[in-house]
Amino acid sequence: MAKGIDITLLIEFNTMNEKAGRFKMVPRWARPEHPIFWLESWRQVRNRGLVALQRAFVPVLFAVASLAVLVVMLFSLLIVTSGGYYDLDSSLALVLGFVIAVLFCIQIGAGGMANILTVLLAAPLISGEVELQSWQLLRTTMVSLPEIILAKLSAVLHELRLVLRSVVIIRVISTVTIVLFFAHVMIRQTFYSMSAADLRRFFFDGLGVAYIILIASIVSYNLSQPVIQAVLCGMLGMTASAYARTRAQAISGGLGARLFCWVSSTLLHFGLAYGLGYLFNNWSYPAYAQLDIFRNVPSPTETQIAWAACLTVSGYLLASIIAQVGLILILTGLVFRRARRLGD
Amino acid sequence: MRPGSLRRRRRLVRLGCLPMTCALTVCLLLMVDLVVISKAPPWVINPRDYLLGQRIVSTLSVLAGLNLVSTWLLGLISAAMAAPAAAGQGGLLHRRLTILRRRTDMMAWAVFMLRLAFLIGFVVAVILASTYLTDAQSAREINNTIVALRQYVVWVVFVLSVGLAHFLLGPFLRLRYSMALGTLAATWARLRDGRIWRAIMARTAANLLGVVVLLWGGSLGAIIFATIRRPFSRSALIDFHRVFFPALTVSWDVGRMLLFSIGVALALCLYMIGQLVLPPFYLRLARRRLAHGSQGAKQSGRRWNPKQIEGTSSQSASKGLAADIS
Repeated sequence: MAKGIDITLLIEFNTMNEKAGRFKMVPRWARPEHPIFWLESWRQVRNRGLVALQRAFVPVLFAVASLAVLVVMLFSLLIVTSGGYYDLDSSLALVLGFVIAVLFCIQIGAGGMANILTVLLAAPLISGEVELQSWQLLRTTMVSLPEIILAKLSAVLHELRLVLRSVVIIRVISTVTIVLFFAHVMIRQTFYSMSAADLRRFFFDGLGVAYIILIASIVSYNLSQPVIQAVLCGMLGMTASAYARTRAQAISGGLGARLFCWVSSTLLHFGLAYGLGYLFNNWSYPAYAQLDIFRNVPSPTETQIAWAACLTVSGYLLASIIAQVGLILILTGLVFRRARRLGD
Repeated sequence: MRPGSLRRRRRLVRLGCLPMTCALTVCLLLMVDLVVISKAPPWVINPRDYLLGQRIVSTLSVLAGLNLVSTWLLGLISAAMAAPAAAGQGGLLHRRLTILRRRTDMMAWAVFMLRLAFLIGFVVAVILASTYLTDAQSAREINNTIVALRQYVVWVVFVLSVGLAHFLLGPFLRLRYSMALGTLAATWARLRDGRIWRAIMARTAANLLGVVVLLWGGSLGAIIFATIRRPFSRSALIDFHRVFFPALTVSWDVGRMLLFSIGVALALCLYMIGQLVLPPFYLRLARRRLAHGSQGAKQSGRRWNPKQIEGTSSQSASKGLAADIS
């Protein structure tokens, strides 16, 4: 936005929003009337290629998701009917299972694309200012350094709001489908074959609570991921931007860091899942345990095994969220530290 | 009109829509029926019947695929074409949409023709399958089923009429709905060139919503239905088709199919009511949004408002409809 900012109009816009009661809970640096936020959000519009990519993202994602789900539903129904097996319960489990698998693939692809877009938009934020020699000028203003950085980041996230919302929508769809699948398995398979005594035990021994905790943790993990990933990618881009000398270096550094994060987190998740599964198997079947520590432990009951499994998965997911938030905080600290030195 | 101008090209596309659809359909059917399915495998006892059956199935599959794709494209194109109508203060919205509807009507007729072709093919296939391609025992079973279904003729007529109405009127209802949705979505666009994207986004979102409602509604319905039918593995099975249609004792599949068809027909009724009722509501909303947008722009002096929609002043309305929507 090279035409400059009309301060009177900015104030007018600010008072209009205040009167309307908007942005009351939003911090000052994340509001559209913040000068840095405003400057950055107008600057983002200029890049035509990125704007086209952002605009095409949502329709393409929705079109692919709707067509894929429809085709998968039809195909799984065809598989069921061609086998001459019309059992409603098995058919529903098959359809929901296939749809969850397809939605999972789509949300991974869409999330990856959204992450790349976030890094691409966030990477030139500081390095661009340094390259254009306007960083010193920005530091001479009354706006503090943390506010400058956070306003820039929130402008990027605001610019990508439609993309992020569409990814969240796909996540909501997959989450509700997972809950439906779980409800189907519980109602039509677990409860279906239980006797009255088993049912009473299930509800009054508190085992139901363990399943509720498990589902709640899966739902919160699945729904929180787009937002956490977006902030994480934004901070990765900003870190690369603070440490690079040019915009090109920052973009390549940010994308490289994101790739490294993907690969390392995938390896870490697989390793941890394997290790936890190994320990869990040793603990639940001490007679066949490969580790000596577990051989003398009394064998756990079925209820204990179910509780342990549910709490392990829930704890793992919660730990993943905490680790991601911790990484974001570390990156924020790094950006602040480096950006403070840029002016010296 | 200059040769090669945008208006001429548009008119060519509009006029060529129907012949192109016919030509494409015929070419595809010829290719599949004569080139792909040309010979029966050596293990087949009656190659003539086998080829006939295969060709009927492939023809119906090709027509169904074309129907799906063309219906999907019709929704997207009509929503995108209606997006530029969201300009001015909303007073001329109805007239703008009438002009745009005239431009897109041909596409709806092309989809209608494809559906008609599918319907004719389906009827021919059913007649052939029930008379020529079945053995004596199957023919007797079909005959018995038809006789049993006569007792529930009201339900059969209801299912058939709703299915036919939805199948044949579907393209026109979809066109009307998509145009209204595209217009409403375009009022959220900040800039002029963003309107079409907003319209396409809204249309694809509506498609996704439809698929999700189908998935969730169907799954929930199936879980509830199965749980009422038999809550536990040891409890007695309730056969709903025997409760509702006791005279259909010929084959259990017929009763179940009739019950399922009635459920689908009721869902289709709801869907059609939505397609009929929602467009006027969307247009009223779009008109109100356009009017409010232009008022807001006047109040703020049209100098600085990042959310404003371009071309909302009274000046753009006086520029003329043709210039605006082209």
